[in-house]
Amino acid sequence: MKTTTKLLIGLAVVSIIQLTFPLFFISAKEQVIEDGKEYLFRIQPVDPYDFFQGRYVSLNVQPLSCSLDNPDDFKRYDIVYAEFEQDSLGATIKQLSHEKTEHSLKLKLYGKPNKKMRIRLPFKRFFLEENKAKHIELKLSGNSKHRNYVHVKILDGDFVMTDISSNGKSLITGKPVQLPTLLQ
Amino acid sequence: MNLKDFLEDCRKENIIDQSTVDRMYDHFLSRDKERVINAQNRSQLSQNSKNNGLIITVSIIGVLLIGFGIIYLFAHNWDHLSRSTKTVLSLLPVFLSVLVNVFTVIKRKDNVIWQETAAIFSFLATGSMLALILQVYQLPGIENYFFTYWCILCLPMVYLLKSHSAVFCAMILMLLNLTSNPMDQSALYKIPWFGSLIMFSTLIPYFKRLFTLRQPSSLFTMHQLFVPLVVCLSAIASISGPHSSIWLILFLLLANFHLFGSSVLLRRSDRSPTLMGIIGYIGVSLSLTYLLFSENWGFEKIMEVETHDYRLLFIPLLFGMGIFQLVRYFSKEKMTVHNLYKWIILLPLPFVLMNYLGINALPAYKISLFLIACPVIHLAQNKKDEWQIYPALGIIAVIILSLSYDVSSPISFFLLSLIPSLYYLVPIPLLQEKYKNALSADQVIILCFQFLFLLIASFGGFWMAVKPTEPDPMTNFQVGLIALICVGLIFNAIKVRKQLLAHLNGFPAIFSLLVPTVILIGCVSSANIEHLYSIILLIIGVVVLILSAKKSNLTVANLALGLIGLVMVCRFFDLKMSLTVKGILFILIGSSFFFANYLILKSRKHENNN
Repeated sequence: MKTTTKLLIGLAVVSIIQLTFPLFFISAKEQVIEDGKEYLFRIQPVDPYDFFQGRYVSLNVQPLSCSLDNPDDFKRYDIVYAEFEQDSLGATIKQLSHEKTEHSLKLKLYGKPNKKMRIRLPFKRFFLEENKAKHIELKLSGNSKHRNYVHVKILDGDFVMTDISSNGKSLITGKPVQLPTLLQ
Repeated sequence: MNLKDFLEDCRKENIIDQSTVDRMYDHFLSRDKERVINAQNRSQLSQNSKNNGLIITVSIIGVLLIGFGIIYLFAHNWDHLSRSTKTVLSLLPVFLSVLVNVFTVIKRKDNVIWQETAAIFSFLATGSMLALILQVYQLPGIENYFFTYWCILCLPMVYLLKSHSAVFCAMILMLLNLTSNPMDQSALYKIPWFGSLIMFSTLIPYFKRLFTLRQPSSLFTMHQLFVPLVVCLSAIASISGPHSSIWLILFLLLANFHLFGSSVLLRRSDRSPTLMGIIGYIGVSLSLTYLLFSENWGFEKIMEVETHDYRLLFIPLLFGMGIFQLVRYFSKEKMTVHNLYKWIILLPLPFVLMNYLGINALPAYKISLFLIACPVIHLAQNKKDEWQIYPALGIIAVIILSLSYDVSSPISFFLLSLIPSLYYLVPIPLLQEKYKNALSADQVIILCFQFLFLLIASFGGFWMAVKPTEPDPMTNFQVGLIALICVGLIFNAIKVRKQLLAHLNGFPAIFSLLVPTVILIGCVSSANIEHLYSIILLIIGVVVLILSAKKSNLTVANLALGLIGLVMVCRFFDLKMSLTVKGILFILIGSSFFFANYLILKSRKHENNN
């Protein structure tokens, strides 16, 4: 009987970990959604043959260019934090630094740091139901004049993608979304 | 004579008295009964375990199907649910699996079926939960330690449920974990391969138990294969950085596995090689040949790696482990010529050092590999030890192959033609007596290659293409090494001439010597002697045809005719004969097929009538 109790205690510990681990994860992400500042990143038209795999939409977010005053401070493959500001054409990078601030996003520098460099953003996939994804694929690739944005909440280096919108209408729910005044 | 008669006989001859006879016979009967009961029990037991295995397999498949079905059902209506519902739903399978686990531990403690299915269900539930949560927050798993979390959350099932299938699930997850590419790879503990390593080390108690108890025996054998496989695959999969360091790590890993496979822990009582020992040995032999093909080994740049690559630490670590195992092995065993090869772990050391210091180590490496492979073959032939001879032979074949890249073209053709002969001339003493009068399947393939070489050589155009007008002179080293290989081959043929001559009257052996020789003549002679090859092939065809006709062997006779026909077809392209002559030759060949078959069938009928 003794081994059974031991096993049960072990099992209880493991089960608690199995069940609480995702809760920590969820609460961290909920925090971002709750307190994060929303930025809208411009989506480029996507290559219609390439971007739809399975049940998600591949996002082709415009890479942002960023000018560095002191490129020698950064190394390739460094982890940096980027602060954004909302522009009339989507969010742009205000500054890069090694220090975390409240509304900064954690990024990895894949290119060699230069005075003027392009930054790859980590928004790549938006998971959706298959039929809907196909529909959105058509909308995103059909007309390059549409203003397509991915809505991202950013807090303390972390981020959550909440929506995709096209011309002020959410592609997920179909309802109009609140756009910052600059973008209207 | 059965026992009763025998005892009666003994009594009559006054060897034993009547009471002894009775006691002995009673004892015999009781033992006999016991034996019968034991045999029945055993057969029942094996029947049971067979049934058990079937039920376990079926139930595991069932759980897999049900698990996937549940995931699919959820996924279908996913987008209509709110975020909180999604979260609760994704936690639901884990709740269920926890209930199943508790039930298994309390009520079905020793039931293998429950343990295995509960473990697999737990793996699936946790995996689907993590996948769904990552999906809700739009995170691709590959960048977010998905496999690491999954594996860590489920690893305890190996020990809590004593499940064997959980080990396989965990090993697959560890391999998959290597494919993840998280953004922040800078710190040691955040690198995927490091996570896999730590997770693998948690399985060590399981493997220790399995390898000491050797129960269940099927898993004992299987994991001797899977453990080296997973470890080596992980080493290859996490390649980034200089190839030389990865090669060195792989070599040291395989050498360690070989030593471990022949250690006291895994060794069989009759000292026959274990599966892990064989895999390690073959892997070591093949990985040694990797360096033959690259001029620049790159060991001089081995220190210039990115700062966050900690893999170089493994080189001294693995090396030390190998030396430790070696010393332990030889502290209990006497060092004889037969286990001397275990020092192979030290073999690349001087060459790597030479390369590190900027000296060209390749020629020395080639020649020492050859000089080491020869005695291994010699000793293994005397011991009739197949599993040592084949890797050594493979090394020599790859040395010849790599040489054929270096030298000018006609000689490289000669070198290639040596490889099939090598195979035939060396391992023949291992053939058993019963194969004396037949060719085994692999020998037939080798023969086909030899015929192919002769056929290629019989084209005049081939020699025109490969013979340059001004051939590059070969270096003394190359000439020396080729001569050494040929001399070694001939010496070996002389050494085992008895066995070679006993096999099909020595025909294949003589043929294997003949093919490289005539090709060498073609390579070095300035005259064009391509017709020699056609003539040789024709002669062989005719001789075999006559011999097989005498023995009335239809298959071989038709193959010989086919060979003659093939030579004719080849000449059709490059001989300048009038079309009429060619046509007549073909009609002759075609009709000879019918004629030969007719004659053989007739003689057979004749024999049957007699």
